[in-house]
Amino acid sequence: MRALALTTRYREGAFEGDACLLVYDEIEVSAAMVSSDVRDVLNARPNTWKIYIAAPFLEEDAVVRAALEGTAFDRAEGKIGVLVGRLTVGQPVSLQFLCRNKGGGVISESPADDELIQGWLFNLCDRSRALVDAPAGVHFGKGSGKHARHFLRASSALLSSAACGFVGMATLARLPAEAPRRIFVDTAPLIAVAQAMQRIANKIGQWAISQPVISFSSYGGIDQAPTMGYGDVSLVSASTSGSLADRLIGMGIAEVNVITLFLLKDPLKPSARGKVVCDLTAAPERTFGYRPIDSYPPESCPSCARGDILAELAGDQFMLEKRVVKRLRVSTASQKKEARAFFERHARTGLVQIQPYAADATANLVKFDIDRLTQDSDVSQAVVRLLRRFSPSPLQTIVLVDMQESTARRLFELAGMQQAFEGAQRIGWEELECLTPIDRGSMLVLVGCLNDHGRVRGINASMRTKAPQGNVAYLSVVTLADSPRNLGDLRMFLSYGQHGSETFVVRSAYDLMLPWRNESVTAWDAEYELLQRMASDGALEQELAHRLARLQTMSCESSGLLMPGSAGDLAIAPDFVYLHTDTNLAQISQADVLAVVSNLLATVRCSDLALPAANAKPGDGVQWNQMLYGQVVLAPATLCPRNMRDYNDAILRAAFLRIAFKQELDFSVDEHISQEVLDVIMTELSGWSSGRGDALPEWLLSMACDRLRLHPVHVARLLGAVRKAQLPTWLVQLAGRIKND
Amino acid sequence: MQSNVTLIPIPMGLVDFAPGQWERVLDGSVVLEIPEDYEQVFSTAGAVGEVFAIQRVLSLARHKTPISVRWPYGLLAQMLQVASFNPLLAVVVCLQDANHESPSIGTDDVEYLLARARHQILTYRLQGHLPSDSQLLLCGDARGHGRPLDLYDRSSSGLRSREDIETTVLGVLSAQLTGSEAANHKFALAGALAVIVAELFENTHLHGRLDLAKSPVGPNAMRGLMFKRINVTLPAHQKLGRLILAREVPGLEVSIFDSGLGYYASYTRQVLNPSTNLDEEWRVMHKCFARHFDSDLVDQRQRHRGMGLYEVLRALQELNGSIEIRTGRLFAYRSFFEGEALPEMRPPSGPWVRIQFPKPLLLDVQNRPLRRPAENDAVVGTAARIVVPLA
Repeated sequence: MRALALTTRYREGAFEGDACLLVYDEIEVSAAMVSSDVRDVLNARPNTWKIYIAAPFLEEDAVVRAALEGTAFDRAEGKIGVLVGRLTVGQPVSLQFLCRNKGGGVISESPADDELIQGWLFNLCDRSRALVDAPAGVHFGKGSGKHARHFLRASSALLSSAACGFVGMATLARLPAEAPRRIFVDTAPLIAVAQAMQRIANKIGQWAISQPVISFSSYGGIDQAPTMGYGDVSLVSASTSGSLADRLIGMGIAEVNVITLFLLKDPLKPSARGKVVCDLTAAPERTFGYRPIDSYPPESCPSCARGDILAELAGDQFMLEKRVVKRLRVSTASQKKEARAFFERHARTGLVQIQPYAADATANLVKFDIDRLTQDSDVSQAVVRLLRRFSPSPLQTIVLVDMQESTARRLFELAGMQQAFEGAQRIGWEELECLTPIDRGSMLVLVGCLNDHGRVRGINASMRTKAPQGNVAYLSVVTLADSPRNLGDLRMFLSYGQHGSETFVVRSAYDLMLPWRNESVTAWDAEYELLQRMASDGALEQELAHRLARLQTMSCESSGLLMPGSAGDLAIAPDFVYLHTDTNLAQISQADVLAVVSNLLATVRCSDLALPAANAKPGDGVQWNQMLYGQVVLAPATLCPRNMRDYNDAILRAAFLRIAFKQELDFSVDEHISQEVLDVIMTELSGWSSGRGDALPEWLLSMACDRLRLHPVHVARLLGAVRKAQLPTWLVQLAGRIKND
Repeated sequence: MQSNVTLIPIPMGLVDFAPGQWERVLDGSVVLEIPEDYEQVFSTAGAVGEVFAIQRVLSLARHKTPISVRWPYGLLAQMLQVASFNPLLAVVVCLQDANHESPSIGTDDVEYLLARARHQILTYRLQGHLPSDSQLLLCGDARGHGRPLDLYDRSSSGLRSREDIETTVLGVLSAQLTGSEAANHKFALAGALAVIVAELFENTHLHGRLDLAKSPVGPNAMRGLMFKRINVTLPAHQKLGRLILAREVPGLEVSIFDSGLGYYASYTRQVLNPSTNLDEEWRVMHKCFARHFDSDLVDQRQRHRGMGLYEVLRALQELNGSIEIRTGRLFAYRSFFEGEALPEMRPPSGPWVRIQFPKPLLLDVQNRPLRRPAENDAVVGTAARIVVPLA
């Protein structure tokens, strides 16, 4: 049989027989093809009362000819019709049966019986085993959070374009007349249904446009789904409670535009909102249907009580193993000797600063005062060596990037290259557009702190037109990169030209691994906004009011970056392992510690790989990234709790909390990790009254800002302990902002 | 009343100031007097640029001019429900350190009503079908509510995508259309309008929150997006030899404001002083619009940025709309209304002619339709008012 044959029972009074639908998706439907299939249907089911033909994507005339004017009509003894979609201006598409009068040959049209359509859709589900039963000893954890022994997987029914075409046709008949702007689907297999709807609607002239179709990955991804609103349609594959439809309506989609394809729910419960294409639920008056699926919250699930295995759903797949959470563990191997040497040399000097706020997410948190940095003898010697060795000669133009001209002049003087400096045209990179091109020109791009790779790439692109066939060197005092690969890529890009990979010289006095700020909100942004909200809602405790005033004036800072502990500002302890603490301990600033931790975390994210040497090719080091399937995180990474447990230094703990990305502080993804972190916080809490636990304000702040998340059970436990502890009122006020879902 | 106290009836008192008056107002203290029939005054005032009045209020507040507000009790009580429908009043409600008073009720009651109204304003979500002509989405940056959910993503707290903004704009726009338009026409309108909203609002995000030292702007820092149903008068003009008379059509006003650096300081990273040359300020503003129009004007600054304001002009051209921009001492406009005189506005030659991209030029509001800038009172931030005819 060429067609997808679906059957259901037709009941009229005491009479009951089969009604068959033959769905075609062929290049062409011929009368012979239909006739042959009709014969097969009648052979297999002699009690067939009526056979309908549907070819959702083909022209109606051809289908009518094949079904009603060929031998099929005679073979079926007139018990044959055609199912078509009809356009009525301003109205939804209506499904109609076309039948031919056996005697006169007149074709009549009548509305298609919706119960028949639903019966065929039920048959489609049933034959493809869309209702999945759990094997013995197993039950399912659904995206809605409930547990059940059965699960409806609509994708099982959508295995051919004919099936998608029929489902699309039935769905289209549920939609309002106006063409939607976008079609959202809850799981990717429904994209085929949406595209089938588009083909049908375009064919019959209902829609003049083909909209984008977007899957939001059901409950797992709905929170990350785009804003939904006017003109959007959403298809929900299957539902046993209607709760996903409720969520979608709550998110802004008009109720008439939320369409559930298959519904199987207890009729005693409130009816589902939106529209339903096929109700699979059995009822006394129906000829088909399943019993409703019983779903239970985890706490009252009988299968859980029996100890049955829970198979959780991720997207529309079962997840029989728990996701592995990558633990970002910092150790001494994470600190490379070059980075250590750099920070040992420049900590205690005030040259390292933290810029807590930024207008966009492109900058680094860590800043260096390049003018002062280059006054250090080691740094200036390193830069002088670069200038002597790699400056093009004769030097025609110097392009300065993030470096004052006076600084550059001093460096050139130290290098004994005053004449070259004075003889060259000197411009800031902002003026590059005005530079007259020099064929085969010799130019130097001198960068203070090369942290914006995109900008330097842009300068490089301009330099290729400003010095065609020329000799250009890119020298920087410090180059920052978040991974070995990105540094390698930058060097490759800048150095590559008409003579291959070493056409242009790219060198740096120091390379340092520091993460890009890839979050819209820094820890300080979050703190500032939280305290502002608290102040706006009512009086702030004095300590918090002081802190808010401090945040208000922060620009580029060395100190006062962290919440104070019980004994004042957090300061480095003598047992700090990532900087030598035997000299000038008091001079090590909070910014120094934050920068060191920032470097450590950047290295850990790259599996403790070091940055490549200047002449090395780009490495294979892969930076740890969250892996997403749809909008579902498959490979979450969190800061390893051992980082906190092993180092009980308050400033180090606080630095981890400030520098880690928000995702890395989401310990709620794993109950065990969450418990470990809770233990550390509890220790801080119990130690507060005795002068230990100075990082407690930072822990509470992190949670109040919703940067750090624990498992809900652990949040409740912590809040209970906070209530019992004798904490100062400002900490109580802060803890009062911790949300517990 | 003391001599250095200025009584300003709002809204109209904020629209115009005599020469030199603004500096005196800034250096004294002000009383903002809200009339009983505020809403009626506004509705009879015609197409008043409410956003420019808001910018005046923010300038006073950012200048730390002491502000007192006198509320009629009835309107103050109503603010719990309608605050976001009265953008200027919503901004006044959210001022920090202002002294609010209302006859017949005590300070505590006034503060209680204002706190409730503030909550309504700062948690407001844009709506399509409105009981009022206006609605305001306010980013209360100085109150820790700078990221309203219609404009900022809940999980990342970053700006919403262009697609999300388009959905939001479509929701507002669809209610203003008659319903007879084809769906694809509505979507195209919303797409162009979303470009304008997204670009201008992104500017407030980048340049309206931090000062030159990259510190937060500070008390009374606010940004906002305002939608307003208005009637637009299109000018009389000749078309195919026939005279088309001036006519009034329904339209939509979209206004965006911030209390940040303004174009000049944002572009040059230098403070705008009274001594700054006005022509230089005018030139800098045009530079902001000219990026990505002039192929000689290469900008490596922020690689994915810089084309925004020119995109706004192109979208406006598509919508036959107009824009007014108030920043620093400048007040400029550009109109693409059908029949509007457009001297020098289209490139005379070159590859752009074929698709008739607009020249990135603005005209001066006072000297219209000339391009010579007139000096206006200096105000904080930037306010942009877009008017789009919907018929």
